Amino acid sequence: MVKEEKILEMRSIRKTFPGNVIANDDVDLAIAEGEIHGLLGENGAGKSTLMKILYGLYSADSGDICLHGVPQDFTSPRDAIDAGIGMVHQHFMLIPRMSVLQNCVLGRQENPLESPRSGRITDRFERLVQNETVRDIAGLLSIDLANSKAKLNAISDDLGMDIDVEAKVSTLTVGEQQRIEILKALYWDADILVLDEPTAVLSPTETVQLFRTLERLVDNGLSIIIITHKLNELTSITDRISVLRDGKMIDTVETADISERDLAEMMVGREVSFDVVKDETTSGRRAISASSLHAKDDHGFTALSGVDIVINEAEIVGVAGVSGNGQIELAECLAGVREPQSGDIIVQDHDILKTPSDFIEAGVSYIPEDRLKYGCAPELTVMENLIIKDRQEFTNSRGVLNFDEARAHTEQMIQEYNIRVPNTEVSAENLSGGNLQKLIIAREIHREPTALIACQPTRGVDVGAIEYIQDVLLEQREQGTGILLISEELDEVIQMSDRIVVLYNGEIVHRTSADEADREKISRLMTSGTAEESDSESVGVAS
Amino acid sequence: MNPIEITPRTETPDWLAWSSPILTIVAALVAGAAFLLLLGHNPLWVYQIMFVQPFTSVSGITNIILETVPLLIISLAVYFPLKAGLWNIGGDGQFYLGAIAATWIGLSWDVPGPVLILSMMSAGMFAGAMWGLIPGYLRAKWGVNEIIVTLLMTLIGIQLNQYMIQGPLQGTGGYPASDTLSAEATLQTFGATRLHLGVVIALLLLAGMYVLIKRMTFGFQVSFVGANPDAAQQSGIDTKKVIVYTMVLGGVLAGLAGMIQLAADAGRLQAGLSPDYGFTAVAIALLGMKGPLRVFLASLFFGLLTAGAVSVASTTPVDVSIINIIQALVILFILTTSFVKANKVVINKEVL
Repeated sequence: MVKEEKILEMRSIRKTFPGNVIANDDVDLAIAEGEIHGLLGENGAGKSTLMKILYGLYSADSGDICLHGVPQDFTSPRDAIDAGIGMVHQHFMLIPRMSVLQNCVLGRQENPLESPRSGRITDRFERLVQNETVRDIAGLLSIDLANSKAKLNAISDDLGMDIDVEAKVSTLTVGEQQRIEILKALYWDADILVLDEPTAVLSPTETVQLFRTLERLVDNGLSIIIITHKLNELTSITDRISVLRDGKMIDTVETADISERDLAEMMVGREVSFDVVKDETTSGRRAISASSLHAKDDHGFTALSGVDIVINEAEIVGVAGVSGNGQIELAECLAGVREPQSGDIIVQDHDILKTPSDFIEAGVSYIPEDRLKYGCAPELTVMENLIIKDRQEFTNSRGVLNFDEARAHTEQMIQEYNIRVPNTEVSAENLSGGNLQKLIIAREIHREPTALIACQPTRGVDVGAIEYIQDVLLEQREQGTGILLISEELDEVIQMSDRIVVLYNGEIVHRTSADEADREKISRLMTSGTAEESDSESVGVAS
Repeated sequence: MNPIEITPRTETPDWLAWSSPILTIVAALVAGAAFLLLLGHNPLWVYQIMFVQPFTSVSGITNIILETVPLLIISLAVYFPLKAGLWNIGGDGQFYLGAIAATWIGLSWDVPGPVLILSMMSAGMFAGAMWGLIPGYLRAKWGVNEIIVTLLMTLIGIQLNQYMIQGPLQGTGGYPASDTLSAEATLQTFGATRLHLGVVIALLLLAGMYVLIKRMTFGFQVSFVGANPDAAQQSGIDTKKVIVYTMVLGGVLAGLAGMIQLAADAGRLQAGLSPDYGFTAVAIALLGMKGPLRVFLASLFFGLLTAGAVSVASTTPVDVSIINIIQALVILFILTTSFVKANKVVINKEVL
């Protein structure tokens, strides 16, 4: 399948940022025509920077980009798109209230002057129509999308996607939206498709569908670059893998010749343990429990309809489910930051819990899913973010904050939790995802909570940090904390938990102990709500 | 290559962070010079009268200080809510309410001097607090935009003042103004100078604000709410309380400024007691976002601008509205500097 012709070559790419941060240190990358190439590296290794340079978002300090052997000089994404590079960003660039068609043609309408309907064209008119300026103006003025629609339909048919191009994007699922992004890139005539963490938002079934689509694309001659830090996915789909570490290209290897363990070592620079070692604990009395919990989401739709859950001391209860089935609302209710419509939440002896501070005082800690939005104040310092929940401890009777004590405490936390920061006064927004997550975990855990609500604690952090965070959670479990672990990584849920519940459409549809967990069954329950074999094979998009 | 390349900065260089307020002002003055040239004046001459002349006499320096006092206090009234992410652009309304309440006490109560002054201050602060409480409560309870509420309540405050000086508080003589306050109800000056107690109060308030923001846990909570209200709430901070408290304190400060201007400067309630202090204060608070000392320096600069405007008006034929243009330019350039601070701009000379 892989031809030896190099479609893309990036040579000695160098990019530094102010403060002498070398994001790309003379990086070489070559992509062969028709291959799926994995770009692997921890957060901050320089993958995104390299791809942003390719896409014309950044300009490199030095180095060349060659497409089909021809040197390129991209100063904007427009140039890169024109040269045939398509990018599917991690956060989709779609306008929700527009249709699939409108989203795809935005900026790239097929010329209406070539419409098959205009049959009686005189020679002079023909010349006029060929005029560049006239075509541009016609493109700007026209809203005739017939040609565009025909092209889009042709592409989606070719891929076997059953897509209603008139459907509004807001009505599509995340997986469907991602396919629209791919479709958009193809509609824009991409030869090389770059996907940034494409599976981060997908359910296992959707991931399989995506990979099937990608394989079909390379069969049609497209070349694909996938950025990820999920090793298992890379080894299953790619032909070759390039590993970046600290801005340097470590190596490019044939996928067939390498194990996941070796890849992880290349990526992190040391040996990584994949095995979660769970010690036996005896779970004690209940730490936190909720009964017949009903709640609405931010848009006022029902998110939880009657959830009963008990988390005992010294155990981890894992919540499996596809994002958007009520996990966030469940976490928020249990952490006291969302008011349930009805139902009772009891934290050990405390049963009258209203405000977030009631929950905090009762011993509930919370690791929110969105670190930057809910976990910290990004523009404030590491110290301010670390002490925010303990502010009263550092306050004297006159309401004055003791900054010396706060700083000493911060330094101790940085040491203890191995948070890599230059000093205590640096803004939290400058921390990498993994380090910021460690900061939040340090803040939540050092209070020795009765219950810990952990929402996607390892999402978007690198392998080394995942290992560390999982260890910290398990250690906390041994200390007697009752932990609710919400994760979209089914493997993580199964490995870490003592008991597992499956959340589907705001209800718990399945409960099992981790020992008896059946991965296939849970996977089906996550996507369909029943354990019956379902028709999850179709690759259909909105009908 | 693009002729002008813009890349986001990961960190702001120290020199830029330190010098940006000064560069802002310099840039505004350079742009202002263009307007002066258009009007046929020599910018250096005008700037000399505006910025140098006030420093050459005791009277000039006194003018700067006296112009700074109300600006500083109202700027703190804008600054504090701004730290919590709230725009109190209604400083003027709170100012007038403070002045009205103080006038009423000052004219009608018959008590010894110090008691009368303290009563007037309390009344002014209370009335200002009420004018800050309403937008604060509406914002906390129902999420009503405080910018609109404070703005509209300023208009109400100004009209209330108009009503008072032509109605209940109108003095003898038929002018649209109250009676002049007695000497007992006036803030004392120090010795032979025109400097009054308000100068000391303004400095004490500045010191108090510094301690509150930089040292107190409450100030820390306010900053956290301003930086990320969602995270603050999840950290157990009662954000609604913070919103109400900061707006009320803003009202208290602006109301006190109204009392001080009334009792030290005007001597009676009249129209135009505030030459849009509340709006100038928004610009000052923006310039001084980094801390109360910056607010002080920015107030001093705008005090100088106002005092300079007076000396320009009294000694030259230049229209005073040029000062308004320069003030507006300063605000425009603040926006530019925040962009330059966040982004690195490189101009490629070879391409141009």
